[in-house]
Amino acid sequence: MQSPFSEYTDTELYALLRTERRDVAFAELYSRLSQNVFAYTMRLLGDRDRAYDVFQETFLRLYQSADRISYLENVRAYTLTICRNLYLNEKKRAQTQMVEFDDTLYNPGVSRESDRQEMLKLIHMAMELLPHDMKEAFVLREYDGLTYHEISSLLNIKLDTAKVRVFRARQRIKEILEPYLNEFTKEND
Amino acid sequence: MPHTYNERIHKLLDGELDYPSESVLFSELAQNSELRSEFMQLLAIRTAVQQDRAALIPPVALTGSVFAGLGIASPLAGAAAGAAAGAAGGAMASTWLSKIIVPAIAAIAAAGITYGITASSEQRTASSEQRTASSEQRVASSEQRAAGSEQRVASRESEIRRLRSEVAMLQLELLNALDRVEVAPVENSTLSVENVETETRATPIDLSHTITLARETDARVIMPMSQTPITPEYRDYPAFLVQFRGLASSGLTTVNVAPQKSLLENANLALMYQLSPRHLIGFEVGSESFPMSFEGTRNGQQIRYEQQPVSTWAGVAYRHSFGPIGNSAFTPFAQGLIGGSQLGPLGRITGGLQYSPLGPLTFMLGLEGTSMAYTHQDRWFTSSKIGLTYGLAIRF
Repeated sequence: MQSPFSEYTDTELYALLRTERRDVAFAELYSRLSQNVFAYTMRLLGDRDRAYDVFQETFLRLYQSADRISYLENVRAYTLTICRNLYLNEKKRAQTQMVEFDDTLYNPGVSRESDRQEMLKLIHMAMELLPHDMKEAFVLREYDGLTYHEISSLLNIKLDTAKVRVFRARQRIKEILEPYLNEFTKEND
Repeated sequence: MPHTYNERIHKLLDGELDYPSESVLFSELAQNSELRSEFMQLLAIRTAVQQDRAALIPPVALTGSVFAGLGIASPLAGAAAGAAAGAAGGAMASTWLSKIIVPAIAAIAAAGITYGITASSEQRTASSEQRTASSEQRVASSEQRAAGSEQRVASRESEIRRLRSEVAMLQLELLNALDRVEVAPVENSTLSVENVETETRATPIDLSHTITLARETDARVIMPMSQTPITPEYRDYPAFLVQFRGLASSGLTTVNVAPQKSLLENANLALMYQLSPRHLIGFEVGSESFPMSFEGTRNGQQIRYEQQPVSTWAGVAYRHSFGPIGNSAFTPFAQGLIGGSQLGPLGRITGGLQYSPLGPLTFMLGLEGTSMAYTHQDRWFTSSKIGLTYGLAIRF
């Protein structure tokens, strides 16, 4: 069953956060944005508890921001900006060099193929080896589905820089996983 | 224009490769096994990432924490996450849906519809029979009521005849007694019953006359009226009072969300008419927030809502003034209001002190209790609060 606000745009829903229908509007916004924010926090922070904290705080701030901001053109970009700032603060606070991937986060219901799970683990590990700027651009592009324009705007970098970072991230991951990928592609030929 | 095949592969993955370049790339891929291998590797990474992305769903507990942290109702069971999972569930989910769940749902639905039609048909037949029987019962009942009415009319007529007869008899006795008193001189202190009977005269019965006499015997008593002297202030400012007051209230209905912001929140305006020094009636209109906590269902899930919307309300008010305390300018008062808001009907009682230092100006301070009723999904809920009220009034 559809939400009563499913036909509304993100901007309209955000405006409704200032009305008495804010709870339903927020629920609809949450349903649209939560997966983006969750993917970003999980893949960049790696640590579940910290990712959960940032995720929760992001939506709290988004909800509260409606008291101050009456109009927002790109709610998703704004939400990811909140999330990114919180992530950077958290990163600075924790001063974590390397976080081991928490594979309990993976939902085994999606695929039970062991080789795919193994490949996912390898990709996560490869991502951890990427420089932060590459990793972030890669997550925003591949996990959050942002366009290069949105990435450049969010990260405050040039469009070409955004493209180069994603390109290099893919290449680095491919290089790291090459031995495994060779076997994988042979098996699937 | 991309310069290398590698870049072209990335552009293809991004959906940004134009058709001529795509043709060139595919031609090269058909001939170049190394490039084909690279393409396959990047494709494998892309596929794995997409699966990973589909699996990254905020857990229900986390969604619950977010909404609990905001103090609002949570879309339970992760409706959002469910939707996302449904959209990104991949081949496995669709296989399950197509092979098991969809046929099961279809079978259940078919069984339900068949049963529904059969049951509905039977119910309609039974209902029709019941309605027919009910109609017959109603006809019989109507006939019985008609017969009963006729009996009651006859009974009343009989009763009236009996009463008229009694009245006539009493009238006759009364007239006889009067005649006896006037006509027969009293020589002794006792009267013989036989004498009375012999002096009885038959008098025609005039019922209308009897009724007229009965009416004329009614006592006419004029009760003294309560008259209160008009006080000087009432004489000076007799009729109207305009009052503006604010409200600082606290909800008896507990909610965890902040009240909605509004320009004239917790303020109201009243126009009152002074019927007498002690009694005022008037009309009051205002705007204030109401803490609301209620439950309902959405998408089959039980949901608890909490909100504090601002609503405009209006109502009629009655105020009773208890008179000044001693010789001071303080006057205690009590007020009741019944009205309605945009959310539902409301009632309000106020008690406090009025202070009239000079002229038409009056200050007031009091305690106030408000209760507002509202419905959600055909269920009634109430929002109650108490607070301090303060204001200024001008008589004119």
